Amino acid sequence: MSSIAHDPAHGHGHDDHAHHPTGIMRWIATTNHKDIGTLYLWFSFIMFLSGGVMALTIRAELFQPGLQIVQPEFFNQLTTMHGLVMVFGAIMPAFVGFANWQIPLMIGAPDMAFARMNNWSFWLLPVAAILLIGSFFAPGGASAAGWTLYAPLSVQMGMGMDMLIFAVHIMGASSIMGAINIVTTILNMRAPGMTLMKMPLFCWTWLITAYLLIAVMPVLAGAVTMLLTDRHFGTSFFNAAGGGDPVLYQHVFWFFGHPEVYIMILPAFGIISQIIPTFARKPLFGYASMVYATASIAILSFIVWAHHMFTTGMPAAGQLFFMYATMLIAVPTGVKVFNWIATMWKGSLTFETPMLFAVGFIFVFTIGGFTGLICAITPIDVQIQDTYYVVAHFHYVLVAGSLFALFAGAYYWIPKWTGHMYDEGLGKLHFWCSMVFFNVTFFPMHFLGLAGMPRRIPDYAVQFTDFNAIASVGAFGFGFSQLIFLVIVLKCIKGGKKAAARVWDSADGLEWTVPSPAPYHTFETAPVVK
Amino acid sequence: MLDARNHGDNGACYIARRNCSISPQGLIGSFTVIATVSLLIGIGFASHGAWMVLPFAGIELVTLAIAFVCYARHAADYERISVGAGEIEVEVCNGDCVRCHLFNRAWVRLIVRDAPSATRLALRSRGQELEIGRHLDGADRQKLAHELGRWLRLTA
Amino acid sequence: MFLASSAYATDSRYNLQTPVTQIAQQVYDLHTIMMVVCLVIFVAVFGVMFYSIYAHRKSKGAVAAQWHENTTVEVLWTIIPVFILLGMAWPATKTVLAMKDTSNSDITIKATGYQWKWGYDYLKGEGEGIRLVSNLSTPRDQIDGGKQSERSQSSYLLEVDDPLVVPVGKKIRILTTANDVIHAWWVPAFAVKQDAIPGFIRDTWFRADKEGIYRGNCAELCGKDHGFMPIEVHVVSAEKYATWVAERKKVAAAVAEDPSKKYTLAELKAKGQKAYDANCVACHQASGKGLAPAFPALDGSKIATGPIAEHVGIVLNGKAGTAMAAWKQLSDTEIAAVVTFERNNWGNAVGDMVQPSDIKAARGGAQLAASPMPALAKEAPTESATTAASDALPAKLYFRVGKAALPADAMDAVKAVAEFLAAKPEAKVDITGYTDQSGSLDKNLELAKERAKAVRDALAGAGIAEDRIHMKKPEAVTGGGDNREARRVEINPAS
Repeated sequence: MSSIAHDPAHGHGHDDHAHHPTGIMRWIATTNHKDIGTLYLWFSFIMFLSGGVMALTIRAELFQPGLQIVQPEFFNQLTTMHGLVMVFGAIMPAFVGFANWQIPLMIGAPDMAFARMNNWSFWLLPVAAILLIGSFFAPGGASAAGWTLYAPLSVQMGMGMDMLIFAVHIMGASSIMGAINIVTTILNMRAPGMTLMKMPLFCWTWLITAYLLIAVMPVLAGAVTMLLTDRHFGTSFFNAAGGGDPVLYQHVFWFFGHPEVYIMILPAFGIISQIIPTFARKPLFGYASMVYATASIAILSFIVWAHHMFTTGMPAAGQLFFMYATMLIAVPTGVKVFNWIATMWKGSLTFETPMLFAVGFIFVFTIGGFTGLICAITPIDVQIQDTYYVVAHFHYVLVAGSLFALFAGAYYWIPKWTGHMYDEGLGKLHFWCSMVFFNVTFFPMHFLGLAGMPRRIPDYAVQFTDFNAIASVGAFGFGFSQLIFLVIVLKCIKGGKKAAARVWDSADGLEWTVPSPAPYHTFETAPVVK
Repeated sequence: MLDARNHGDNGACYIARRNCSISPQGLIGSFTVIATVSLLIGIGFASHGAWMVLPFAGIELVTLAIAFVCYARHAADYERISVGAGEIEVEVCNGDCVRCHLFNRAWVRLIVRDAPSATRLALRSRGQELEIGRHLDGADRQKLAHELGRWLRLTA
Repeated sequence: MFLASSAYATDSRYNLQTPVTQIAQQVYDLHTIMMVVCLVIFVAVFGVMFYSIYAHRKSKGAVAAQWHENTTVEVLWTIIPVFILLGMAWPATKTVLAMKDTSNSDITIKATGYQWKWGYDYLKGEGEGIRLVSNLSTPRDQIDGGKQSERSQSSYLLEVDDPLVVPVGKKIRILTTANDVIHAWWVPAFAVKQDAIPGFIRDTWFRADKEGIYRGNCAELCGKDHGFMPIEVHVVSAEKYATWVAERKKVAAAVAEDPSKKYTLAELKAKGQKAYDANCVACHQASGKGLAPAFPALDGSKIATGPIAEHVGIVLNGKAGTAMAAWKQLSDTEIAAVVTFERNNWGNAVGDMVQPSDIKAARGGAQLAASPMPALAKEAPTESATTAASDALPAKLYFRVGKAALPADAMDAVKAVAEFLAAKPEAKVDITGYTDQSGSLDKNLELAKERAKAVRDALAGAGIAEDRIHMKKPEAVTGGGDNREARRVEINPAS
């Protein structure tokens, strides 16, 4: 009698891989990081389209002077909700979706550290979204106080504001749970041999982003809670008549708000840093300095918040400090751009859609970086604060920055997710339409801002007509270009050329060692990284 | 991870540990950093009148601490398989619970199940079965199976 | 599209407006320098990138090198930008310091932001005492669906009925504050933008070098008509300014209202219509139907058809937590007229009216003022939720949480009480301190006492003999859920 028994039949009985529920329950109850990642990505795309519809309504109203389509009160509701929906509904969840899909695959972990909590943190989001969008139908409509919700204007708002505050709380809780999950996963579950300094840069940027989230989300929660108590419970945090200070709200908000900006861009840097080396067929230049630059940007983000408040009347010393600190951010950001270009230098470049979006990102994001530097100069900022120049600046970094990086990442990994290649021709069309229409929309806004057009106005002086008309045409072009993306994704899910495990010939990383599409369970036993 | 220690011809000791990519000190350190930053921010705002940031920071740090503890509880999990002259002792540490299983070396059988995703190991004796090598990756499990198999064949 | 004639013939449509102050010129130059430096870097960096895209393509047979770091290069491109930034920071710092120097001004003007117009008070220098309010003068029907051709003039949305007038070459200091929410006073040609924050005063300055008309907007989202509260500044020669000041003074003297004058219902309604159109119509609408629910209808409303005292109270003091601001800045006649108008217009036909003298009494505190209208006798300023800025008794002074120090904004009330007591040597007052309900009772009683003492000391400091001030027993828990209301000291006529 042998003392070693081979028992393959029994083994299959223990194989619980096939036992996940099907149909709608699969998605509601899922604790699988890939399913949850997919949910996040679809949710953010739906929110992206909703926010886009709001943006197009805004641009339609601004096509020519006069009030044609919406009334001022509703216009303000649209600008407010467009901002909130895009920031909290589209960009942030999209990056969390990427994190869910990619981080376990990239570090060789079987799943996220807390799979059940992962499910909750996603399903909070649709609840928040319903509250947020539903506030349009509340008496008085949605909040019209701008996405920054400045007191005391936000104290004047109707019930929509309370719904918004609860929505922000819920989304905050979701972000915190997501961040805790990501930090725990990255710290504890890396495959043997994958030291921190061997980790793919996308994981690094997400680790730092998660830390930022944990640090600043309570600040946002505190800010909106104080708004709520000022509105309903007789406190006077921001009410001068009761001994409070309206400017205190701005300090609290922007202490959250500026790191939030980096929460939306650091994972984008990570995605770009994965893509450029693949299509340059050359290792990333200056890996260590990339990590240090990311960390410096995160640390600096805590000491620059008041550059959003140069016109509130702070003392000269304050203005100078925040100006210098803000200018300093240009240094690590510059290092990143130089590193990416150095990675391309002497590479063997090809330009598939992910690479097109990545190069487009570097080019257009850098324009946003330069206008950011110009905005950092206090005297210039006093002129252009709250004008279309600022609108142009932050759309250059958020649309051409975060959004383009998200598209780049989606094209880069979608063959791994679906097992099929996307339609390259349509992908290129999507890129060129997005790139051209983006610039047609937002470039003229620099001129509008310089010439003196304030932001958040439903009607404007006639000398701004031409550029507004151009911007509106561009916006509609940009909006409809995104439908190409939807078509590409649907086509890719349904079928297409089979993707190999290593989809891109020189792609590096653990995610390319599993088959395409990635099996439902991966890395149940950890791979070893040399 | 598999630590193997041979005690000559009649015994050996194998320790299988979980893969845990951060040391407990590292985890405590990273928690300390984030807690300090969060609390400093909360206290800073409280001193300027916006005290409501602090309770939220507190709630969040408690959540983070719970999460880290939940995870770290199992970070030190291990299986120690000691092969003695007449018996095999398996010490399983799971969270804060340590259990010892004793098998007669002559009667115990090693079960190797080949599932498509991974090979799983178990010791079986008198109707009792204990899975072993849960913390090991494929290569290490193969190695453990090979080693244990060698010891059991020696007995037989 | 580019052919449409530019309204600002002298202004570039691609750049900042033509500067008319030295600061604006510095800002303009700073921006130009920054643009040039950024463009040079941009061209250099992307020159490299596009060369690489051109030359290092796989399709051209490029083989990838495998190096991935170079410490020298990395240090260089960290250090060099630092020096470029230092070069940029230097001139910017000088301009910041110049911008913040508001000392030695010739004329000081307070600009107050209202939802949605600007009020100006000439506080110091030539023209002291002049008050004016700038309302958008672009007709509403031109904005709402008017023909494009009607909007062709350059001042569309940038014109006001009564512009700010300042002399050329003089240093004008602008103090900004606001009545309701945050606004921002912005004139691009002066490079001046300063938030106007309710409850706080901020300042900025400009010295216009060229006569002309300069236009700007409110630059901080302030609600529905944020886009419709422009700023128009006329910079005129010293002589013209003197003439303007003289005319203003003459007109002011001529229309100076006799506060005790009694008007007829018809007169009040006519005056009320004007005041309504200037101040109320944006929210409550010409139809009186409002814009539900943020801006309630007046036609048939409980306030406008209920007790007149409550109606006056809400106009004077606003309603906390809603968009209804306090309208104390209007004259007694305007408030009397607008209240009377609202009660007797549209479907409302209450038939009563209120005279300017009643408003004056209502402002001061009804108990002390004789009111000829029975309906007004009940008007109780103690219901007022605003700060103790009223000029007589009873007065309420609000304190900060847990603090017994008299806040700066309560000093006006103390002064008013002191003046009242000085005028009436026989009058005495009671002082009672209160706290909110949070914290322990003992501590709160002590706090209430300390607060009352702070007020007594302030009154004593203003020259009131201590025997005229009677300290009442402090009370800890009052004010219901309204904690702000609870943290106060009351000064009442002695009982």
